[in-house]
Amino acid sequence: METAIGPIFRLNRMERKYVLNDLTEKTNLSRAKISNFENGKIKLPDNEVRELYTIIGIALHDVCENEVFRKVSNVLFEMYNSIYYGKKADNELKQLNELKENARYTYPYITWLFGEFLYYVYNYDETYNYEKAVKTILNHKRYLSEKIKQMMYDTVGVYYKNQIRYEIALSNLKWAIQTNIDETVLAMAHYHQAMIYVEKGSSFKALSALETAKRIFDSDMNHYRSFLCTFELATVHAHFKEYKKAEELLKKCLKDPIAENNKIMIYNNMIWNYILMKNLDSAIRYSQYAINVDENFPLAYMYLTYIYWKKDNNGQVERYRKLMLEKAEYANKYDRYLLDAISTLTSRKTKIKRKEKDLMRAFINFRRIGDANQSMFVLELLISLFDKDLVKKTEYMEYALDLYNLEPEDDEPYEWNTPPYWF
Amino acid sequence: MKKIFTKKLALALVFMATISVMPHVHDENCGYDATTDSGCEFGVTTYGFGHFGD
Repeated sequence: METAIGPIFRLNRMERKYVLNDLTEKTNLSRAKISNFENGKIKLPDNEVRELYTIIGIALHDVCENEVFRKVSNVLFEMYNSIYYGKKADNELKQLNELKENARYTYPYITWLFGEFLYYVYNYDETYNYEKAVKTILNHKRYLSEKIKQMMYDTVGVYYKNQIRYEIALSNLKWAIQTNIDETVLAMAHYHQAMIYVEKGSSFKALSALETAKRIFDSDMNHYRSFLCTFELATVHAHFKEYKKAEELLKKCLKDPIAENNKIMIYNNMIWNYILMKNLDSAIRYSQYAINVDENFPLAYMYLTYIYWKKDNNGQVERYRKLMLEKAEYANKYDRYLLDAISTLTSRKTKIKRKEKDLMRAFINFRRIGDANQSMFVLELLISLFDKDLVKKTEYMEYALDLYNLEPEDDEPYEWNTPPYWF
Repeated sequence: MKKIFTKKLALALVFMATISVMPHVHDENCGYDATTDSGCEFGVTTYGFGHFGD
């Protein structure tokens, strides 16, 4: 671990935006020597290291590496534990920040950086530079202990999942599962994997991942995580068209004290489930509940617009369409495409050609962000739009088929449905 | 004998090539059944479902 001091020095230098030339001008060391030191190839005497740190404006003081490492790791484990039980980790972040000055000179710094990254993955902050942190941590992962490395793969997986980069997220989560040191992290990785499978529509895989995760959460008496699993499980059941079961699970979630202050997402899934069940009256009721909880929840207005459009109640469609467009500012950029699409679809004045154009634009945008589910959703709207125009309908169905070919289940072996008896 | 074997092999290759370019649709994906031409209805995808938390 001794050689870590060079690479860590480089991180500090780059953080302070100094280039190599700044150092060679102010010391007697050659550029090659500093470069080798930064790459961990050679060691420099203490006084020279101290001099280099002084140039970039950091006073190096003597620390016991192992002691610092132990402290940073402990805070990190506490932070992960808080996240695991769904508690706030602000206190741990504070403790971590206090350790920065001592941790920044040698190998514990990577563990420290990971701790900061861990906090911000679960507490989104737009000022934090996620890409840079991921790159640094992955490049220096050899300075992490095995257990922390497993946590790191899980956390990086969550980060990429939130970025909708599912392939890279899944490969990181697979590493976390293969590393298999800590059962807690293993369960978390399974749970995060299940979330991606749900998004991708691979329900069987999602189900088995959720079962594995839930078993561990239950044995840990982790009620919070079990609740999350139940919630995801409802989606999986809806996907299997077992809407009654999904409704039952969601109602169970609704009664849970954990959901006390955050019912909006449960209502959202309830509404969607009722739409699938074709129980439009219940869907309307739950949309009203959702609006009562948060009057700026744009998706509730979208559901109401769609439901009344289905019911041919033009007055209500116009009313909720207007409200939906007003509340669109609270939606994220991806939901906004969807609101636009629904708004176009339900508008009476818009001509069918214009509707097609708008929906196609939404489709292209969804393809660009690589979300197959959303693309599929818009295609379904297009197909229902051209219900009577068989040529157009076929065209969009072909798009739908293409979409599935673009995202094959590559890790499932091809199965011979009909054995080739004929030759 | 050798000729027949080569013919069989060629047939098998053609069969496999055909299979590999055929559209590969899972019912698992969204209930879309290409054979009945019924198409997906609104909302058969999982799109509308959200997650509670990481």
